[in-house]
Amino acid sequence: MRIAKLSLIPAALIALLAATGMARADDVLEKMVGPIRIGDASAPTQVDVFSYFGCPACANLNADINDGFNLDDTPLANAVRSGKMAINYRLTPRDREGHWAEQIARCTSDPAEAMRRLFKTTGIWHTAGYKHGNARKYIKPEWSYARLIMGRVLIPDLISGEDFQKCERNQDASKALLNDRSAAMKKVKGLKSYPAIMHEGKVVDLKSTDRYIFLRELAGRL
Amino acid sequence: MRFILLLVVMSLASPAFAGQEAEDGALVYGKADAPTKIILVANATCDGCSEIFGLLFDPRFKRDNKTRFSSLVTAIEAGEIQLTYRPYYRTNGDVSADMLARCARHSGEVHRRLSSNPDLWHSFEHPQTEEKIGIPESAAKWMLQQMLVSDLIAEGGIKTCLEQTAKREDLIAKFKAFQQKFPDIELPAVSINEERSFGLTKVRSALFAAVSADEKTQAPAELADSLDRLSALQKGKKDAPPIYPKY
Repeated sequence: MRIAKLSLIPAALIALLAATGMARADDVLEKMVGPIRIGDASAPTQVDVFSYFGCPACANLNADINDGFNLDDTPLANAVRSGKMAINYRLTPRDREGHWAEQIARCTSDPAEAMRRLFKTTGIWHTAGYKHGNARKYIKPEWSYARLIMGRVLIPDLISGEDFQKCERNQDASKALLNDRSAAMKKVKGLKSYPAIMHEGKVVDLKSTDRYIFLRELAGRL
Repeated sequence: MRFILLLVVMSLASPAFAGQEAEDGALVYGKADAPTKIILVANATCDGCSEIFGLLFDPRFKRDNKTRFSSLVTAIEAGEIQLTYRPYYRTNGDVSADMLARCARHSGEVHRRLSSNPDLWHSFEHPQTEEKIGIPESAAKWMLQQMLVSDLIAEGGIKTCLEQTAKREDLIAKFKAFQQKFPDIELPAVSINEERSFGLTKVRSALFAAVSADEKTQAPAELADSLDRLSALQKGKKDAPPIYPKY
């Protein structure tokens, strides 16, 4: 009887470990669903921003939003911090590197901060332009370089090396992210250019520099 | 036989414009008897140097396809200005960029190209800590390969060029001699007929004044880029080979 009880211990341990592993895997899948949110999910005003890595205007808008947050008394920072407004980022990558980067950003402890850093450095890991004769040329570094820069330099404080590798290789997470993205995009109509802003279910058609002004004014009215 | 002919044609089509190397290690462009002498002190990674290299080595033409976009390029080509470029090294990357310029078919285009985005091959700012992060050596070499090989430097030329240890030491020694005379200079810096200016704003104004061009009428670099791309697209000449300044 005692021997039988003892033999149950490893089995129970395996079951516990498996359950923890499954819970962790489920956690990762959960992180792939929904937008990357800046602010409170229950905020009465929700604004969706559609953008992607490699789009300079998208990087500029992201920088404007975050610069606004650094200046504590801006209307946008106040509205988001007081829980009146939330900005939901929907990334719509144009290439696999953008998709992988989003997947990794979502696996970190702070996806919004990871996304901010990745947007700010798209010229390093994604697409970089330089003057070349009469025009500009663009270089796209290989993914091996991009992941090295991300994992070792840009976001090592937000995700461990082990979790980075696991997340990157997680096919289920990749599929979940793709499914969630396509389901979200099916609900959007009238999206012409990027970055796009959607407020109260409608895409707001704006020129590049006016997008941040729209967000700031909307926050000021709250 | 065809291959030899092709090589001959290619060598005629792309003559080397690497500047004349002076005894003190500076690169000299333009005619010696030019009435205006400009000495530029800069490097490939300093803030603002990209714009100055852009003004001095811009290969683009205005929409008439006859007039150079930069009046400074026109003046150097016409023999009105002699430009002396004195590199001021702050990092090993600056030395490497200078060596590559000297090995290339058109050194001015190397200065312009590399300084237009040092984030690619030299270092970039961390988005959180703002500290400078150096690009790993193997990645930097790959980037330089993408940026320079084929039209400016031959295949394998980057490695050969950067491995010239004696040349590197010679350039550093010459720079140190220069640095002793001018220990700390705000870059970019110019001396125009011995009148000195420091920092991007003053240097730009001084350069435009040297060619009597109104700074305000010159289109900003970004606008110029987009105008140029637009006109190239309209004319279907997007991939037309650039005609680099002949100095």
